[in-house]
Amino acid sequence: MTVSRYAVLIAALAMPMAGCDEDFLVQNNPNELTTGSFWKTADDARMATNAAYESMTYEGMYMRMMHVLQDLRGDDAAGTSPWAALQFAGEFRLRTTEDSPAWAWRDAYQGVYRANQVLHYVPAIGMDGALKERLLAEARFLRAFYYFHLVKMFNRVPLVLAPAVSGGDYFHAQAPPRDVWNQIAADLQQAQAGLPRSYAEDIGRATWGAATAYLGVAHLFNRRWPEADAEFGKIINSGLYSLVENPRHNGTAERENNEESIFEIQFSRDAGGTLSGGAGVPQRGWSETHARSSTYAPAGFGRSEAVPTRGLYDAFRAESTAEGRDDPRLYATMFYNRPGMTVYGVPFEEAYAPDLSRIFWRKYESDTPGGHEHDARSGINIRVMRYADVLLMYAETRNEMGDQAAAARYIQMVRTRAGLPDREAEFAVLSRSDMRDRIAAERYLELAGEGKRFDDIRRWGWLEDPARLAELTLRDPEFAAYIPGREWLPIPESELDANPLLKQNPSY
Amino acid sequence: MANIHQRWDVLGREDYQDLVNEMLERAGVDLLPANDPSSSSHISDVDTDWQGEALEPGLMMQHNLAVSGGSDASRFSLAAGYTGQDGHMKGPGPYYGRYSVRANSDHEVGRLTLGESAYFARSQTIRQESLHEISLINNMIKAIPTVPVYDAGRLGGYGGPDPGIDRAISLNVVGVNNIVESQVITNRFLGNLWGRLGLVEGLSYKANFSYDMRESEDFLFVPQFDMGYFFIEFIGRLTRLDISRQTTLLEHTLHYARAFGGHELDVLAGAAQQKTRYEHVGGYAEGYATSEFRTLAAATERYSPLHYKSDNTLRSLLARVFYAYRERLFLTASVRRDGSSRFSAKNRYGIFPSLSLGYRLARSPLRFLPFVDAVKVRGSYGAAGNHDVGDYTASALVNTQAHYTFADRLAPGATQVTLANEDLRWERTASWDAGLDATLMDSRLLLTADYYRKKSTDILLAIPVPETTGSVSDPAVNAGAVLNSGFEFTLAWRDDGPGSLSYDIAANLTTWNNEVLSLGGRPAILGRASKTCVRGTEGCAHGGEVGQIYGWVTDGLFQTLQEVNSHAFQRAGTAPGDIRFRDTNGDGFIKQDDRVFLGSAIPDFYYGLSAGLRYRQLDFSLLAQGTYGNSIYHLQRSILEHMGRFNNHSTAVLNRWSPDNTDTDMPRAFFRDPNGNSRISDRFVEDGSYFRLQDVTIGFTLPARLSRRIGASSARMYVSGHNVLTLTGYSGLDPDLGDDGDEVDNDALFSRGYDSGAWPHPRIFRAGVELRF
Repeated sequence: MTVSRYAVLIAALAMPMAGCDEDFLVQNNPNELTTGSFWKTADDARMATNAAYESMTYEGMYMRMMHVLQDLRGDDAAGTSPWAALQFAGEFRLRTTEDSPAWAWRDAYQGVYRANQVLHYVPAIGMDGALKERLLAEARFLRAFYYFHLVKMFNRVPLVLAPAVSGGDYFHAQAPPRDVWNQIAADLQQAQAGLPRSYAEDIGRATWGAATAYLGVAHLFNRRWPEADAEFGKIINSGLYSLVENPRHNGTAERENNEESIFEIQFSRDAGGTLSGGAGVPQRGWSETHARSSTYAPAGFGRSEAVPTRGLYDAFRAESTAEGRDDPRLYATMFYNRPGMTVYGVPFEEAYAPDLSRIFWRKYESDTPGGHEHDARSGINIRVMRYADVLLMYAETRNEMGDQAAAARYIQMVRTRAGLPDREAEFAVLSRSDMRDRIAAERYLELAGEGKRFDDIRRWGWLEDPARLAELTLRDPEFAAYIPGREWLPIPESELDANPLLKQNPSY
Repeated sequence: MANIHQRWDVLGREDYQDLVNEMLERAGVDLLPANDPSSSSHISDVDTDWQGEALEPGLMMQHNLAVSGGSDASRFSLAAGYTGQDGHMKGPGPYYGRYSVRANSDHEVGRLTLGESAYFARSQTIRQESLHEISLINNMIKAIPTVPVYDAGRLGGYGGPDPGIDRAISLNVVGVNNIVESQVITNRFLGNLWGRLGLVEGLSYKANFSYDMRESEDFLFVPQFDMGYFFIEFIGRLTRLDISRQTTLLEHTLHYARAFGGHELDVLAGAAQQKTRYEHVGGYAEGYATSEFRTLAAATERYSPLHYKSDNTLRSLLARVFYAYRERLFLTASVRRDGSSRFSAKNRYGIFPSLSLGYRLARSPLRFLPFVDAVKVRGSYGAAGNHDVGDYTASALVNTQAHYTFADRLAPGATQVTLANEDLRWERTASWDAGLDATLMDSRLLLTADYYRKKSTDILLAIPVPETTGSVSDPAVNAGAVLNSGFEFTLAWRDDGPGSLSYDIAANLTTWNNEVLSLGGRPAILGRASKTCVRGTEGCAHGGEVGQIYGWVTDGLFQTLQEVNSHAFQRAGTAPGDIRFRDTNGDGFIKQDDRVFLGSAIPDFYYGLSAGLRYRQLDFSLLAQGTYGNSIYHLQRSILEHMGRFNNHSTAVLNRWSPDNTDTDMPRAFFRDPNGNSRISDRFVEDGSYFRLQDVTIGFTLPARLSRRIGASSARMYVSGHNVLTLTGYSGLDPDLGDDGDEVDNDALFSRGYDSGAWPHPRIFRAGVELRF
């Protein structure tokens, strides 16, 4: 070989260098869309809106922690968990570093971020105007839904209304709760105007009814009785909703999105994958399920970290149906020792001898014969707003406005579905104060384990009333550990560390 | 032979049950049936020693063979080797085995020199999985003794806790290491081809091409099993990936070297470009009733393909001039310009100059110091860039997996979930060094001393942003500046003794000061678990050090209710036997504002010692190292001394506070630790200083006549011990914390001093034979 041949070889080696151009240093992500190529079409708008719903299924929201944080603090549920994040919720001992409030905070704000993106980017998309208006209304509903949970649990929260673009947008101080509630009402009013009464497909999207009911709730929580009354009245007068015959169907995989249902968090065991997700970056193969059923499962059939209180059981037993039988809602709500009771197909006395006084949640448990909840994948939709709740809230606003007769009528409507005796005439003459007690008693039974009770307790001022607090403690000994201020959750410590503008809630 | 010889002293069955019963009784909670002697479910016939069951010594083996030869114009070498390292735990993992071959050659033909090198290796790694738990070692030490290792009644045959009677979250580490199959087989090829052409006198051109390829087969099979509470798999899953990583590098350099009249000049100019490609292709499948067929196609439930690509490119121009005068003055100046695909167009390039100067003192000024042979003084400045942020970090992405369902039908969702910072740019480190090299006493003593100062600016970091932004992770930013400085000393003595004795001794010492100069305008970044530069225990503050341990200060135990009441308010449940925390800000409450910096993870200094001795056929060497003045946060102790949970505990808790045992610093046991005795505090901060005998080797070389008899030109036998002896006050398994698997960027800088459950370095004994032919 001659030298010149080697020179050719070296030149050949050098070729790849000569062949490359200025684009060599431009590398675009071949796996994922960038924001620059998104937010262009109606499909983009629809997918972004769907994503804003997804945060409701995260582990800090209705996959798990939201149930725990709402229910365990009420006198309807008590904890049996070795995990402090769950157990301390009901005992008002949550520490500032606990996962449960931190995840709820995190996932609600992720939902806010997603809704804010829709509200920020979708207006500029050239697309069908009606669909655009509807999607924006859905995003407003969802933003209000997330802020409702944040403000009712943490009280003082930052109000973030646009996606952060630069570093200057990252830090927000807490807003006065009144401002947050006003924003919730404003969003819901706009959602109410833009949402349809029903959907031909995609059943489960936010509707006019959902926005109206939550708008009523936002007024109710702020004791704006006439405003709340007007919204609940709209729902009732719309004729869109009625009570399902069997109260069990308010917590089963069958009869989801039924005539009583106003808004449900949608879950499914069949759609989606089986990987437990619900935290961080959404992944392919994530399950579209929640862990409530396992968390609340009867002992031996799941993680079993919450049980109904003895006080709730006794309250159910206090009144029988017109035929003298147990309130059917007791059976819909709990596993307890009664003739013929089975737990996932196993006779109760066989499963729990010798201690047959034990009680367990049945609402939102599949109770499939031969089955269990060990894999923590339940597809049962969570009925977060249903007609019975609205009827009882309407009874409350009517009562506060002096119309005890109407209050009695709507209370009895809910009782009649359960087969309880007709006591409308007796209730119609109650004083406003006695009627409040009546409504409280009815809500306790009808909505047990549905995340409503602690909100009621707090907004009725029971925590400040020593006599009421003593009653609560009698029904649920966890209240013995209550100290003033603990009705609000702690602002997560990591968040205080990350944002110097935040202040911890008093009592922590 | 490698062995984890360290053991935690943990409780046996009876002590464990007493502890859990005590914490529940104090809290007024019903006893757990497994621990309640009056229950029919009481466990009295199981007492598992999990460390004894899980740990076992592993065998290591190494074989190497090398051949080299050639003529004036051509040279070659060939080497082959095998390494096998069996794990120190029962079950297949961890295991590492590698076969490798290496070949080099170069040839001169006139003005041209051509060379190549090729390396091929095939390795197998069997990993240890820990399911959704974080660290296998933590799970091993906290596993409860009342669970058996094997349980034929459970799916898979391994024991586990029962949610009804134990209620402990306890992972069967033997079970998981045997049941889950997790391994990667990697074929690696590294090739290098170069040619150098002499152009004119002193000037040559060189082209170099290198190609580094790693092709891996990754396999993770999780069969169906039931190992109790929280450790149940009902579906059976397989993830199978082919992973390809390829890096091509092409360099062109022009080199000019000339010496004239005592001057020496060496100039180099070049251009280089590098491309790194990553791609994985494979799938994830579900539905394996048995372990018989472990292919993606055998899945009965679900299959999804996995495919991901990630490329990055780097292009550099560089120039370097070296000049020397009469071996007395040395000067090097260089500049390089690097362009990275990881930054957007406006921030793509970084320019990094450097300059160094050396002067060797002439003999004449040293004549008054006859024992000094030579002294050289040096000084340098250099800038370097870092673009270690991951590919595509600077662009905002849309996640397309954010699905919801409507009436049991999947509703595709897409949204941005992570904030991105499009302004990312090069991190820069400017280093200054001033030093001195001296040889003394007829070149037997060598002394070097250096002062270094490294200032990093625009550090690439994920700074915690508030969750209220909605971002699932913290965007990487160029956040702040850090200064590292210190001295380095080396002293080496080498001499020959009487007869054929020769020996050498060397010692080195490095000091390290670290100072945070800026944190992107923020006064401090305080710990936040697993999301950022600093973890739950740590904080950085302007003017302080990076990654300082951060938490509450303990002040003994409360002995009486009166002491509790007269102290600042801690928690509602605080009672005698609980730890008193110091109210550092004096506001009457123990809150997070009372946390302070508790210690530095950075040693005052590092040191090393080495010694060698040769006498006739014998050789001996040793190597030792250590640190002084650093602290370690001992997470494992906070688990094993928690006394509020159902996991197992260390025997240290036997001395826990009780009304009958008040003279102790171990707090009381109480279900769920209402006072937060196990919060991050100086209770778990320990001195991490240590001295370790790293290596000791004794060798014996056969006399030549004997080795010739077996056909070898030389033959040596040796025995060696690695990690033989450690002197430390640290109570954990190993003060020299290994990689704990934490995937935090800038790991070396920010996540020191946190013992979250890394495997200790094994103690290794080797025996070997070296033959030359």
